[in-house]
Amino acid sequence: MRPSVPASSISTSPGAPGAFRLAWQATAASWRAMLAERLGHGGLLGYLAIWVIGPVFQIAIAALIYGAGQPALLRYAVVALSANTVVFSTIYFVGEILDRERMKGTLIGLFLAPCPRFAWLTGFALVGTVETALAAAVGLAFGRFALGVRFAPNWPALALTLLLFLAALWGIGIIFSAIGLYLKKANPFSNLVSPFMVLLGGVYFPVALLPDPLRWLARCLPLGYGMQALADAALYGAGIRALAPQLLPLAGFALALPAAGVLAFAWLERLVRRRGELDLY
Amino acid sequence: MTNAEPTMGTSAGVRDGTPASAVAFVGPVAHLWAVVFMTARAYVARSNAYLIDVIRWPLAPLIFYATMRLTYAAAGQETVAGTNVAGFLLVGIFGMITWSGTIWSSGYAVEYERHEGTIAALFLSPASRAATIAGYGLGGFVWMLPSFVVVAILGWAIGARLNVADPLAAAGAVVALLVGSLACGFAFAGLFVLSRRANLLANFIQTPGYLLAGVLFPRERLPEGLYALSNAIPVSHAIDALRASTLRAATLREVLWSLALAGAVSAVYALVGLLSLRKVEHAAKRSGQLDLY
Repeated sequence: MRPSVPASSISTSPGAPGAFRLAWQATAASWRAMLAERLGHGGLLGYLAIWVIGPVFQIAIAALIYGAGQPALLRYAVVALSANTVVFSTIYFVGEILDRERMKGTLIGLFLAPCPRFAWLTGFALVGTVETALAAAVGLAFGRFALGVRFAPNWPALALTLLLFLAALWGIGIIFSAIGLYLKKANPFSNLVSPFMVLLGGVYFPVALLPDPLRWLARCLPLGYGMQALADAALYGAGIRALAPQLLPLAGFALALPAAGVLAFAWLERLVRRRGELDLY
Repeated sequence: MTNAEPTMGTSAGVRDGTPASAVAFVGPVAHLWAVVFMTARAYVARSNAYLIDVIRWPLAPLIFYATMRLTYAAAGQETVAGTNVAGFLLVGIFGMITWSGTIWSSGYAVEYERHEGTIAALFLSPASRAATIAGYGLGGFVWMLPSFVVVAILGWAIGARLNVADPLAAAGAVVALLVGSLACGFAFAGLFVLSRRANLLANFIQTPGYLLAGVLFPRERLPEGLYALSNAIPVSHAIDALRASTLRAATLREVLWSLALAGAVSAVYALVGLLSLRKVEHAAKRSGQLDLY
């Protein structure tokens, strides 16, 4: 069936007058709405318990497995499990944004809203970023004060690694979000991929310690590079030059994955407009 | 519950037009079993509705088992608590599957009904609430069977070997694990709904549950305070008994204390469950609050 009027983007053009102000307002409004929703879901205490304190239990499990005999692995696990909150947020927060909005019945409204897609997506994702930062900080503080892990951060290397890691994960999140919406089962999809991300992501130990076939697979993902670089930069003060073997592949992922994410999102939007089935179950 | 409830879907009464007085009745036990069985069947059918759910539930514990086995390998530990790591973790992952199954089946039973808008009908029906939750629990165990199977296959493949001297001890430990989980489910079912934060609570207690029950490491490694807390979880004692009886050839006499503790703590949880369900029923019938969020 041919549409009576050709579908054109209703996003504001970046050059239009007031476009920046509109985008900023949309970002702020979506950030407020998402924060209110997250807090309203369980109250401040519940919110802190589930999203912020969660990593402490995983670090405690790692500490009880490694005991006093493996201090290097324990130090690595403290940093990696704290960094894993970013991966967790990528899968369960960014990856489920679109399908969650669909289930609430607001996705079509968002797609038709006269503001850029990235504005409300950014607003939503910012809430996840704050949550992640809090959870990671709590995990690192637990490692420092409860387990005695000492940090010697190289700040430029840490900042660059984080930037590349976040860019790569942002791309993965957008791809997962598109897949979740396409399947109309974002949460089960998150639960499906999450264990693999933990296994291949170097969360409990460096991917270099994985057996061969699994290590090859792990090297096809950005997670292991990011975790190792973060651990070395945070614990041993490794600089950018020393981290080059991790940072170079990570930079490749940081370029490729967001591009793939944008393509996936554009494909999804075309599909949405063609089939008009977004609010169906 | 009286013995005056009509059977569901029998030939008498509604279907053939005989007078209501001629409706066949079943006894309380048969009625109870019918509720348990039909609830379990409905739970399994619903859980199998989507292919992605059929795939992901067994995969999650399988991959987690592999991850934890590799974690021990990375730490250079091939034995733990006197047994090989693969076997030790196999029993722990069984406990973890049971714990997760409990939380998301019997523990979440009343919340499922509330979420689907059927809680009012449930509370107005003559079905026993306890039987309904037990049905969810049974359905959860059946639903988790593929998880047990794939994890057992991986365990066998990576060298987990059982060492059973007294099958009765092992059977007792399995029963203790199931009963303990079910008792937790009873307690959670009412508490989750009364908290109005069921999803949040269910997600929250999962990992502390793994930590305290010692599914991934011996409970003796826990700090003193946490060890005392772990004694308040029936699954902890059941897993202790299961490990001793299936990996270290313990006899029934040797695991009797763990089994007794599992039973005693389970009884406390069941009591909490019954009280909280009564409270839920009060909220449903007197205050009419349960449909509200």
